[in-house]
Amino acid sequence: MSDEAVVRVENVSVRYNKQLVVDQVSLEVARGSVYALLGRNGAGKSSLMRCLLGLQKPTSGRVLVFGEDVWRHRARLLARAAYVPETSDAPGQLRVRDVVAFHQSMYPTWDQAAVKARLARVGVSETAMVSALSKGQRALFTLALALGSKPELLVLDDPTLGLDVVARNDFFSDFIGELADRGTTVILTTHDLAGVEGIADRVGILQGSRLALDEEVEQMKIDRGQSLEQIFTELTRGAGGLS
Amino acid sequence: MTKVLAVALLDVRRLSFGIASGALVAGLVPALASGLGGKVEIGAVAAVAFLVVGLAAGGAFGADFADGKSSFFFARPLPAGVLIGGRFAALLALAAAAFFSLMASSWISSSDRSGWNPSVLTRFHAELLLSAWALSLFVSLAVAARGRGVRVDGGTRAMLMIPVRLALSMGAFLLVFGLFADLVLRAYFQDSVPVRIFLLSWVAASLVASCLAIAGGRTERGRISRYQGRVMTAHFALVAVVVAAAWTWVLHPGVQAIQRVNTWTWGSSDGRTAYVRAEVDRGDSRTFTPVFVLDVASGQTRRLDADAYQGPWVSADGGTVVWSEATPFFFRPLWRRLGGTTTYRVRTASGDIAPLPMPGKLPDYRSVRDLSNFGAIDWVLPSPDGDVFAIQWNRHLSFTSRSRGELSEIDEWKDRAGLSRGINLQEAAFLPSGELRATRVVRDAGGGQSLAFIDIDPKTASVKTLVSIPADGSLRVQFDLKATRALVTSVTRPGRGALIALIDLSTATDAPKPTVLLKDVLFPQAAFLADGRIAVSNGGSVGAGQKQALKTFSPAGQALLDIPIGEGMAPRLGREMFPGILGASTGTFTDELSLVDCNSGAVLRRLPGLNSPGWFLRNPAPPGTPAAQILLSREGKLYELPSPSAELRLLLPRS
Repeated sequence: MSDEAVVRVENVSVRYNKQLVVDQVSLEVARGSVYALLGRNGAGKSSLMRCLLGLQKPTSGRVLVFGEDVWRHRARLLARAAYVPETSDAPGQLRVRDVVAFHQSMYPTWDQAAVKARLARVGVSETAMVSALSKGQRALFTLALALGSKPELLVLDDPTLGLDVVARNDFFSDFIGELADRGTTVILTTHDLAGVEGIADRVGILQGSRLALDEEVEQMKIDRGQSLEQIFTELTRGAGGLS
Repeated sequence: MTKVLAVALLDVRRLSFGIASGALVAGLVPALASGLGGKVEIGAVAAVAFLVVGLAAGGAFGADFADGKSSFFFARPLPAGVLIGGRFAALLALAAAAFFSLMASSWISSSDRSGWNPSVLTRFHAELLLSAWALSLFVSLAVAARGRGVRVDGGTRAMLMIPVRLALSMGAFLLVFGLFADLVLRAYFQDSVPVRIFLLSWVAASLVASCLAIAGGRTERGRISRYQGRVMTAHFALVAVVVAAAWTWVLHPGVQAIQRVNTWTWGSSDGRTAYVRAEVDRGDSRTFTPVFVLDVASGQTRRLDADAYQGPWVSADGGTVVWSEATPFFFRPLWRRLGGTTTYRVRTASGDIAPLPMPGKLPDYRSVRDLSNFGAIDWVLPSPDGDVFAIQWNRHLSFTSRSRGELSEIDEWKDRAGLSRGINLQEAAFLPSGELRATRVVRDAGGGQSLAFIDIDPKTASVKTLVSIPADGSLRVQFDLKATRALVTSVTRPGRGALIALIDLSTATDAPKPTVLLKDVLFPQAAFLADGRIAVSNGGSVGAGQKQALKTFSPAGQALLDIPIGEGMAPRLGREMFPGILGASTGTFTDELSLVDCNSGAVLRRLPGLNSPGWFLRNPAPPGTPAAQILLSREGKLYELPSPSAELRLLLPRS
């Protein structure tokens, strides 16, 4: 493992009953880089993301985060990482401020002022019930929570799902870029190829449960003379997903 | 600790409003019930409140694992132990909130505050709270883990295996449950500990399964499901092994397990065998006192695997024995529906064991819902040749035969007021002719009662009344060996005097007249001696003070000897241990066995702390035989006295 790799995935396979969802995937994510993991629905992106955070144990292989096995040392390693799931996982029966207070207790690095400011900026009231937030508000709320701990590693599972076009563009151009500039390592999955093309340093494409491509974005475009969307379409055409 | 509190606070915030509101309303229940004329204990309301709290908190915890929502916890630097600890702390906080809300509401609403104190909470409340939480968590976690339906791989074959596996699982569960139910009903019916351990073990297993599933499965529903399944399967296997082992060990004690011999112990009329009921080193001694068959001379002992109080019933010669074999209660209905034989067994003089020929209408089991240790039969009387059986069951009298099957049945007879009465014989014995001689109490139209001596033909169930005598009070009848004479003890007012009369039934043509042997005597007991004489013990006459006395009478009823044997309460008759030598327990509060020579009237020997069991037996062990020479001590030790002057020989217990 290179010294600069924050995340190293080693021969990870994920199987649900007899269904192989992720097949022998290996990849590395360098410190401070933005890694985009792409694939069609059901290609195994979310499963790989969960393995990467120690939420799920790979059927075989292992995932090292900050050089340690994340399944074994999840609680300690996640003090330095944050996760934004595809859909908000915050309990709907709580108020926004209760969820924020909970996170404050979890992270010694928690920046309460920054979180409050971010929530105010995106129009999320602290007294609102989580269940009363719109889909977009919930996504932004979840992002704010993830950023509140000033993570060294940020894992985003399709973070722009539910955001309108403007918010989505802002997200990619400013938000992620800013994080990368601060040295935060970012791994994200998305279907928004155009959005990710400008910010990702490296891209991996899952096709048929295998990692079909894992290259530097710029080098890839030079070598193939195609846009990311064209490459993705070419690689995944005809590869039916699970869903 | 901060993280534990943070998790707890999250749960409290989610659930406290509903639970506190519910508890406030529940606190009004005792006052409302009182207003309606009823009474509801605050402790019962608290139990319901704790049940609801446990279910709600456990359910909310498990539901957090539905649809990947558990990533809210697992994607944070939160160890699984802290998560579980936090949720448990929340449970306690919510229970406290519910309790104080409940008590406050009850205090305000009710004028009767007698039950208003913290000691209203017992260990039961704690167990209920924890059990509800654990089971609710387990179920909701299982539902969350399988929320999108069970995926079946392998196609048709796998689909077909589902009912097979289900049937096997249910069969295994029923087998274990059935054995456990049998164990409890037979050996722990009055002891709640095994049932509590059994139930709490499932609660504990479900809690362990949930905790492991949460720690090991995290957000992966398949793993959660597998962890739960494996732990519960392992627990089931453990329970099955423990239950099977306990059932085998507890219900099948050997002679070495005997700790104390019970007073329900007697020498058989075969002169050789003693039937010994004993407390053993397992089971609850209030419920479980197995019967052992002891060959007195050789000391060989084996357990009679019989249902409690369903035998042994022994023929007059001791050669035929009937009992109900102790097969597991729970499976008896199924066994009979599958064509299995009755549990009642007959051992004949030749040693063969065969099913008892049963009355057609009689199921030899009760419903499992009865949860009873008792069988369906009141008693069985085998004929001396071991072929015919008189069976009294559920107010019926049936006759069956090993060679001829079911013979006859009487299901009711009329009393003198014309009312229908079920069968309830006082005493019965087979005559050499094959008829059954018996007594029954007949209610007179005027409210009195009389005692009828009857002969019943087993082939036809026809009844012939020999004599009917007015007889008030509580009656006890004893036949002699040939059932040609009877002793009737009548107690009209307990402790205020009784009457003992002899009736000669040998002259069937004339209506026999009772000969009064004694009257107005205290605490009498009477028995026929082997040579036909009669011995009567009593505590003296009414108004004459208490003098322990033993009187003998000739076979015709003439007084022979009056043997004073001490002061104090009436002696209790024992057996005629040697020809003409009777055992009688004397003393005020401690047993002392006196060996009384009924020929000379001398007390030959006094043996402190002992008695000679089984004076009430119709067919005693012949005097001088080993079975007649058994003695039982206060400490529950069984001895043999080989001769009046010999040393006692300890028979049981062995250790």
